[in-house]
Amino acid sequence: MRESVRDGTRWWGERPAPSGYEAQQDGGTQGVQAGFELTVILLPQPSKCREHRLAPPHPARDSERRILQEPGSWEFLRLIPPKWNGGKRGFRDLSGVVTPEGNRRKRRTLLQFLSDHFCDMEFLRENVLQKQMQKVSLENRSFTIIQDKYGRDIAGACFILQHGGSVKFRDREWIRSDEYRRFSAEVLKFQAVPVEAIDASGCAINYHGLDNLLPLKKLQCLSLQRCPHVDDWCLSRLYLLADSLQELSLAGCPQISERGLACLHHLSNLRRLDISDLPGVEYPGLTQILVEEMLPNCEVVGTDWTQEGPEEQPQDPASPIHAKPAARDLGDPCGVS
Amino acid sequence: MLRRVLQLGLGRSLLIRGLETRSGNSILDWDGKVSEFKKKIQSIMPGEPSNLMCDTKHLPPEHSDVVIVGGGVVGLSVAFWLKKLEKRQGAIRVLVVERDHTYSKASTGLSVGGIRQQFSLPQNVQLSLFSVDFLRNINEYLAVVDGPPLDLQFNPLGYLLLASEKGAAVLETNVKMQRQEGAKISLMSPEQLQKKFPWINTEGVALASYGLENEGWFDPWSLLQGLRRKVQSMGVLFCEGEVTRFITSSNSMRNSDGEEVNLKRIHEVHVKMDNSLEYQPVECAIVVNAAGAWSGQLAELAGIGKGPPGTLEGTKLPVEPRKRFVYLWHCPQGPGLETPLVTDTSGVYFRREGLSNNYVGGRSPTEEEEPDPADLEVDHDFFQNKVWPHLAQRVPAFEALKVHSAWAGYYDYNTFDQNGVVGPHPLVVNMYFASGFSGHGLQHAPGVGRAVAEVLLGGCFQTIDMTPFLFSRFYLEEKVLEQNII
Ligand SMILES: Cc1cc2nc3c(=O)[nH]c(=O)nc-3n(C[C@H](O)[C@H](O)[C@H](O)COP(=O)(O)OP(=O)(O)OC[C@H]3O[C@@H](n4cnc5c(N)ncnc54)[C@H](O)[C@@H]3O)c2cc1C
Repeated sequence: MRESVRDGTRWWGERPAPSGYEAQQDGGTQGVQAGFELTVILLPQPSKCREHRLAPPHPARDSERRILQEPGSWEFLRLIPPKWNGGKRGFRDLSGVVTPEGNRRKRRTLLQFLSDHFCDMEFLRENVLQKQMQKVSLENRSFTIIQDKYGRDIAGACFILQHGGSVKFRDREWIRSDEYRRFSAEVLKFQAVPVEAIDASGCAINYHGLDNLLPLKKLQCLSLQRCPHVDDWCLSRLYLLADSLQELSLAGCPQISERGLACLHHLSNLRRLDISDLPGVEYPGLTQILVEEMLPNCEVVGTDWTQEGPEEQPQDPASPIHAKPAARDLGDPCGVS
Repeated sequence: MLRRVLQLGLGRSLLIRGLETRSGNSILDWDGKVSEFKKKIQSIMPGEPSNLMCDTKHLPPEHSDVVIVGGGVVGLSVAFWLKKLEKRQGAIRVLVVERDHTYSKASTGLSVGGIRQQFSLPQNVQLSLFSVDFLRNINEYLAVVDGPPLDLQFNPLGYLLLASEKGAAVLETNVKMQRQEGAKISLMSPEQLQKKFPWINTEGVALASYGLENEGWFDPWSLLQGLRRKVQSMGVLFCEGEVTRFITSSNSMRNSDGEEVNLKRIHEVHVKMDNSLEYQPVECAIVVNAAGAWSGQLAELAGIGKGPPGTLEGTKLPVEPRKRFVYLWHCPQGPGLETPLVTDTSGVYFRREGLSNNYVGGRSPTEEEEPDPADLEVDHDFFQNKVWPHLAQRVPAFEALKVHSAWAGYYDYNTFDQNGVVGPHPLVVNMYFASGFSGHGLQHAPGVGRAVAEVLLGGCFQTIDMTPFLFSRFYLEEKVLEQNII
């Protein structure tokens, strides 16, 4: 019997794959794709509807009988694609009532045109969105070939220079790329010299791009100021630089929140941390205090909030920030917000 | 795309009418309909915030290729992947039936939102890694044109699992496996632990494992709403109603040993509308059981487990609701920003909540202590007697704390081996399971949804091999035990 159960489980695997269902469905959705439903709403004649408004409410069964008795008043149901009426009860009997072809066509004009038109727009915008995302991820590929040939430091340096940032090798001058993001091939000669500092201000580095920086074992100073794609997920990977990193600037990164800052506790050698001007941090003053507590040996630079008047604290129920609507609104269970 | 949405919206209003006409109380108000229609058009015009979500209370269609029972995070994830993996856009019609659109009892919203790779089964680690990748790229997966980006509020602070002398060896082998699967987990001695988290009392701790990356917690509501928004834009239909009955037919077959086997197939799902005695039959090709804690009951509706004991027909889906309490407390001197989700040797867990020294936590009761799952009342004595003492022992600062609030939720608890059930039933051939995750269903939902969609569309698991999670293990009595149940 045991064996037979194993057989039993095999049956489902060998059953014809649900492509059969797909085929069946193809017929079913045709009606939908032809846009018939669009016409439906325009059909009922106002006079008839009024009649109904005057009619007293009927119990369920009665109403169903009524539908069957007076199919004329329910004309607007007739263009429902046949699949919708496939059930045993309900509208099935009405699917027989079909308007002539010509009628159908006439009523599909404006709305159909609009929806077709928007369909293309939507498609276009979706595509543009996708292209933008692709571009960022393409720019953040790992420089594996350079890495294999010249080592990690050179690969990291090239990556940053190509993004328009600058790098400093130990005991050397800062190297920058020009406005076309070109840089001198001299970089490739620094093989034996580790990268000590990186200024990636404003670069389009993302989570995957960090792959090029995290192996830099001697990196002491990293600036990610105003990087649009650096987020909390990125910060959660910086622990790999914990042994060497002494200075870190995250100022002006739009996607960083206090949740990401909390993982910087791994960076025990940090001497200086700039977390000023982070729009994603809800309570900058409080966050700064907590980060200072978390990193007792580190000087934390934040927005100088003492000069900007009293900071709104989360405990203060009257403060507008306290209400923090974003998360829970999204989470409104009924979605009725 | 928009056209589909448009049609969907209209199709829906049609159905609303259908319901009205059938219940007989309707007044056919033409002007009203026109303005309703206008509103709908407006709501989907580009540039306007989409508010399609309010329009979900309506009659289900009479036919759907796939009916997903349960609109929690697991059900929605199945819907998402079905739509994502379908060969041609619009090829499969998917309906999600959810009886409570406020999700007042659904586990998804009541969970603690944790994600970790520290499991004892490779499949669970793989699922988690898949999910974390999904969550990281959530705004690519769940992007809708004109919708604001989702903010999952992910706290990447890791899980810290503490093991006593007795559990140390197991913890070590688990971590070895987790690392092989690609998880970033570090092992810590009590001394290292003390150094890293000085607020912990390491007494009785022999070894600790700590997730460095990809572990933490997030807002389950954001994920749920993001999935809802996306699947709706992909053309998945929603309906508020309860599945009360399956109409099945059976078919006698002989297997290779010549034994007779009764194969069943569900043809129709009866959906009962809220506050009404009426139900709507929905013809379907496939039913996905994603009813969370209630999936055992749902399986019973399809006759699963109704046969003589000891046979495959008599094998139940061993998933039942188990009540779990979560407490939120305030402790002014409590651990700081770096606090991970800590799981003590005693099974007590806690994590930080927000920045104002608030913490949430709880503990799974023992088998004898299991509370009555009839309602979601909170037992405050449980905190006093079973949780607090261990908390205060592990983190001395917690000796002074004040419980601010508490809630209870249901684990979709698999009594057999505390692991998920994924894939089709061997006898009721078109019922597919996605439930039984016993307290880690939220984090596995993205991966599980994909796995179910893969078997459903292609007949086999592709991304992650989930064959150990098939239903037949209950009959074969092959447990796939997960040790790390928190
Ligand atoms: C206190 C607590 C803490 C948790 N913490 C975590 C955690 O840290 N990490 C983690 O990953 N997981 C956690 N979980 C587990 C997680 O919440 C669940 O595993 C997960 O949400 C299950 O999702 P689901 O969609 O299957 O179930 P649910 O969200 O419960 O959805 C099932 C839905 O099915 C509907 N339904 C049921 N029967 C029917 C029917 N007959 N007809 C129509 N609809 C029906 C229900 O109304 C419900 O909305 C926790 C759970 C609890 C209770």
